[in-house]
Amino acid sequence: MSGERLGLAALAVALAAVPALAPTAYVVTLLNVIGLYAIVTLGLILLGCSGQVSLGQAAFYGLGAYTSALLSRDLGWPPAATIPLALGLVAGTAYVVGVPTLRLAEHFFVLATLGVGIIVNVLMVQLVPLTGGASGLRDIPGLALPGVRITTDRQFYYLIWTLVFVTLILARNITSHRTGRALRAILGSEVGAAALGVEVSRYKMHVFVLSAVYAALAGALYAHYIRFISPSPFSLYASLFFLIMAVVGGLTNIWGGLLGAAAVTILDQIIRAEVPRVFPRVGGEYQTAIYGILLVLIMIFFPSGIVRGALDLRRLLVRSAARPAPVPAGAQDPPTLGDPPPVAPRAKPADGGGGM
Amino acid sequence: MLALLPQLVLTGLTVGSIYALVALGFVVIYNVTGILNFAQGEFPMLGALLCASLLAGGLSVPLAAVAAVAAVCVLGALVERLAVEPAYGSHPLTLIIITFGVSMAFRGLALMVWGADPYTLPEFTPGAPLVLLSGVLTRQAVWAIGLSLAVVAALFLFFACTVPGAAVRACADNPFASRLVGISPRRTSLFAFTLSAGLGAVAGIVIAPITGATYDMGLGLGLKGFVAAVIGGLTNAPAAVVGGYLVGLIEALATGFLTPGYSGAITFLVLLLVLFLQREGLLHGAQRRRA
Amino acid sequence: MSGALLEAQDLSRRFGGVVALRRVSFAVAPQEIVAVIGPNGAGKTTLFNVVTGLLAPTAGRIRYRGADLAGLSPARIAALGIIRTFQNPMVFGEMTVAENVMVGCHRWTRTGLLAAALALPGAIHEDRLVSRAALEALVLVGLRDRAADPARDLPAGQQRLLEIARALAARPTLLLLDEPTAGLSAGEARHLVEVIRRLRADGITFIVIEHNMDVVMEAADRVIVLDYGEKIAEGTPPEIQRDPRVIAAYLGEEPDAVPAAGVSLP
Repeated sequence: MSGERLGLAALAVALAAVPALAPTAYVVTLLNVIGLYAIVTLGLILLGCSGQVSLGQAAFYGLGAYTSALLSRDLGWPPAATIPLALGLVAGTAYVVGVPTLRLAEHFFVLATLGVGIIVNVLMVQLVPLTGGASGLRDIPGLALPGVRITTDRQFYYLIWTLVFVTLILARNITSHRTGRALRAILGSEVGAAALGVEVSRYKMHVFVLSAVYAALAGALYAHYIRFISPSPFSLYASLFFLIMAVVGGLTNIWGGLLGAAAVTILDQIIRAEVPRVFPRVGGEYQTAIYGILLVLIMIFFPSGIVRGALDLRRLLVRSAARPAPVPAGAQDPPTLGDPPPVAPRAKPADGGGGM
Repeated sequence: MLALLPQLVLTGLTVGSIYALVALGFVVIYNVTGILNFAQGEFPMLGALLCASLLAGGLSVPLAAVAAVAAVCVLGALVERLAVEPAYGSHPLTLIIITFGVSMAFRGLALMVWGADPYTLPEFTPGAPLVLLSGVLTRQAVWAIGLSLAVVAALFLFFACTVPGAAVRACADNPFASRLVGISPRRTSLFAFTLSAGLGAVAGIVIAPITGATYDMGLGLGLKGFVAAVIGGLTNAPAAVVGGYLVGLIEALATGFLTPGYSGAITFLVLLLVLFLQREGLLHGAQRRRA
Repeated sequence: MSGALLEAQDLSRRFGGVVALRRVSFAVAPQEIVAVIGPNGAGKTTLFNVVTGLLAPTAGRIRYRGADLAGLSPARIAALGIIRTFQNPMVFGEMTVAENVMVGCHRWTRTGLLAAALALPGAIHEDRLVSRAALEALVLVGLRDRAADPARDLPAGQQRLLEIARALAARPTLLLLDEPTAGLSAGEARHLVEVIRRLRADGITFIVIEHNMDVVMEAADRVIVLDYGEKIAEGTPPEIQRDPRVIAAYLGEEPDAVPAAGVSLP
């Protein structure tokens, strides 16, 4: 526990020093982007703690951006008011999507979020009078909080990373108390959790709304930071990108969110720079091949993310060195969600999810 | 406006027959393994592009088509063995994400192999289009509708009348019991992926002469096939076929009567509606309540 | 029986054409230990699933402290104090043994999302209570040493004990145990019987599905026998041992095999 606090403090100090030490402005900009993605990823990981995955995060990210941008640009409201409004609107949207779908099996929920993601993106492109269509919205006001104007990269850096830390600590607290235990119990076995009095649907709803709010916060910050938005950063492709960050960090590992966002963003920069050299002909989203294969490999070999995977590996090595012949750990299959009550003689596969 | 209707219906039926094939692929895999294969849409893409390459290599249309379908079947089997099978028994979420990964990988690889430009396939039987109730039906559209119906019929015969078909059905009904009588769920799962890949490839090859084929066609086809399968209840093959035609019609009508840009959203609006209306049957045992 | 804690009336449950429960009625008095026995497939677990709201009965009703349980979700029923364990333990594999038991405390704790997020003093205080309660429950079933291990690393028998500890941490009024001694050694089973007796004295009521006849004879006040979904007998353990219908249901021609060997099916 105190080790974690120490790590947090060290990281905070290091990050606070970056702008002063950064060799180029590029580093600060890159870290700003990483920070925004980290907030979205943290939301996804909170959701992952309850055994859910959403492919609509980019839509919530975008809704947050567009709402705050439009209210502040066209109505002249201060961003200090429009950002909370944007979060409220997105929370409401997530609630409306969640009510009917969260009680369905997990793949239907994924599908519903995917549908929402696509619909929202289509609306961004099509509602030209409101959103400016594909060419986007310009001249979004910068941030002016009471007393301070936040305009430069460096100022945004401090704001974004403060919020990263706040969202990180909130998420960590949630997952380490009663609520978090209930969420992880739902991940382990919905039936088992319900049998102990955990209101499964209600918890899933809470965490889904919260994850959407996280995404919206990042989106609203993005809008006032870049001061220009268009539909393309909020497409399905972006949702997949966020999912990869969460998966790399470990879908249930809060700290992994930071790592996943950083690793994938940097990897993306490298791929964008290097791949065209190897395949000069190729344009467009060639990175998908790499990300797709990465996703499959991680899910097969490190389903709890790179960090946990490495830790597990070390634990296994240490243990096999300490004890001559350990019983293979985890010989038992982990419980799958919704294992049907064993007596039901006609359990359809639909009930069992993937539990073959 | 109304004069457009017959044409839109014909277009809807043509595209719908393709969605029906993709939806069938979903249903086959879902019934046998409980997995929703989000990579299903990539099989039509691979079928169409492979067929185009084989044609360019000098093969005749029928030969290229059959070879492409066979190759995609092999790819389907590989997906099952390399990506899905190693993760059996883990959380359903893991499997969902894996199939997403497979889908992205295929799309990216196809982009590297075939580039971003669209390919076209020749019509199977070139000739003047048919005119039906003031709507135009190309010969290829007749092929699409006819072939998809034929495949559906063949599939039903297979499941109803053959021993391997019965084994797959048994496995879908009760994997545990079928293992007791010597049916291997692992082999059935491999078979399901192979068959679904083949179904997808057929769909892609049939539709390519009409719509062209690009590396990124899989996403839309997959999602719409998916919606069709969900409309049909996911476990019911005939209903999924009907769902496919329905999605095709809705899409065609939306394109005709609304701004074309919205047609992509309409399908998903329908999907959300269907999901909202789903009740018994899709629920987890845990959450099943009294009606 | 107006003093009954739980009262089932004409419970039936069908799965398509299969009748898993047929007009089963019984009552359980406070602080009673009732054993449910019967051959495999007799409907014992279905009975548990119906009582705990996992399955809706096709017909019949269940009253708990006089109130109808119809239409309540499993979580609501658990909140009322009816806690169960499962035939195949549903442990939360990724959590530690102690955390598993802490989830058991969910029922009587209150910390919400906001209090947790802000780590309010109440949340921290409650967490301390919960971890103490969890350790006590683990001591009771003899899993204290494994508290910090991931639950998935436990062998099957100990996962069963973990589930029992988790159920106890919920401070149940009525505890339904589904084959609690399966996979336990004779010594562990004996210890468990002792624990059950002690907890009964503390006020907990038990319904136990059990195949081990020694355990049934030793622990149960009353035995309910199910066969093909019907209640074929009910009585004290010695009465059940002598009941010809029970003997027939179990082994047909080999009557005296029932009490001696028990029917420990795989």
